[in-house]
Amino acid sequence: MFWEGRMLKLSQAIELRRRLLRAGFSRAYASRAARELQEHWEDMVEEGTRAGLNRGEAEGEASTRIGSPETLISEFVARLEKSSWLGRYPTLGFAMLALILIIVWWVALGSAAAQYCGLFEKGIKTQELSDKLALCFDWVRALSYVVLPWLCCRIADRYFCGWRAALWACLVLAIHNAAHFFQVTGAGDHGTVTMGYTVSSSGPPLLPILAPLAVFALHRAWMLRDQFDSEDSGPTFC
Amino acid sequence: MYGYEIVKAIQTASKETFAFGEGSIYPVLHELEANKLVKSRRQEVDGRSRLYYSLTANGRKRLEVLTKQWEQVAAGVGHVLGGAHA
Repeated sequence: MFWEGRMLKLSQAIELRRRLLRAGFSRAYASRAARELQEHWEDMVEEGTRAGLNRGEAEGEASTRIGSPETLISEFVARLEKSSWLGRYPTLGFAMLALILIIVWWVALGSAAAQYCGLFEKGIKTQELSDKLALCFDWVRALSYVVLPWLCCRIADRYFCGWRAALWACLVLAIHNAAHFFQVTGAGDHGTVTMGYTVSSSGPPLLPILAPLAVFALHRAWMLRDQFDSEDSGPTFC
Repeated sequence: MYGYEIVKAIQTASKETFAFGEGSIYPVLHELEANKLVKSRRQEVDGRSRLYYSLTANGRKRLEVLTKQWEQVAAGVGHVLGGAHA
């Protein structure tokens, strides 16, 4: 693979990429940073050989000039984590992000589901409507167990906020899922939609709590998989 | 300019006054890019593909502001040192 062949020349680039991934940065960004470092190193090696050094000496000189991996990695992490508001205030930012995503999700998909079920149409039987709505909202809720944590993980990657921020957002979502309820009831000509938070005496259901944490774990495993990207992912800034 | 060129330009312009690990330029460039002060584009020149950086309009404005601030600070320090030596 093109990438692997090039990357293996410089241990700093490999180490940088690995450590950026462990810090929770995206694969695209980690690969881009490592590739730039690699290209810089190659330019320095060329400069050294032009100056009369042999290949080994030029490579050693270039590796020294590029800086120690520890210093580089700490600079990458420190600078990029502080480059966005979410990165500077991850605890507040990601708790708010999770809550905003929940609201947007329910407003957007809830109203779409209601429209689909014919809530706003006249002449539909309440019991029939209630059954359809309950089914639709169950789907909306079940999808939110997976989609919202995934979005939080992607946003943490995109804004260089690290894996802890993503985990925190998933925990907030898990707590929300544990207590949130949605109920559609219909009787006679009237129907009622009830939504809110409750604590059950029999304890919270496990699936809604575990789902966001499982999404986080899968996302981390995917990011840390031991394989180079087959193509240059290019810049990851918008 | 790409990263290596930028480092060379800094070293030449500063007459090699600043010594730093050359890889340190990338976190700085990436932070500037995240703040939309520079933008990057991959380009192939002479068979070598590299990431070229250029200033954005915001970056140019920010550079002007920082340059003015720095000139004021440098002038102030110059006056202080000049006064002390007088």
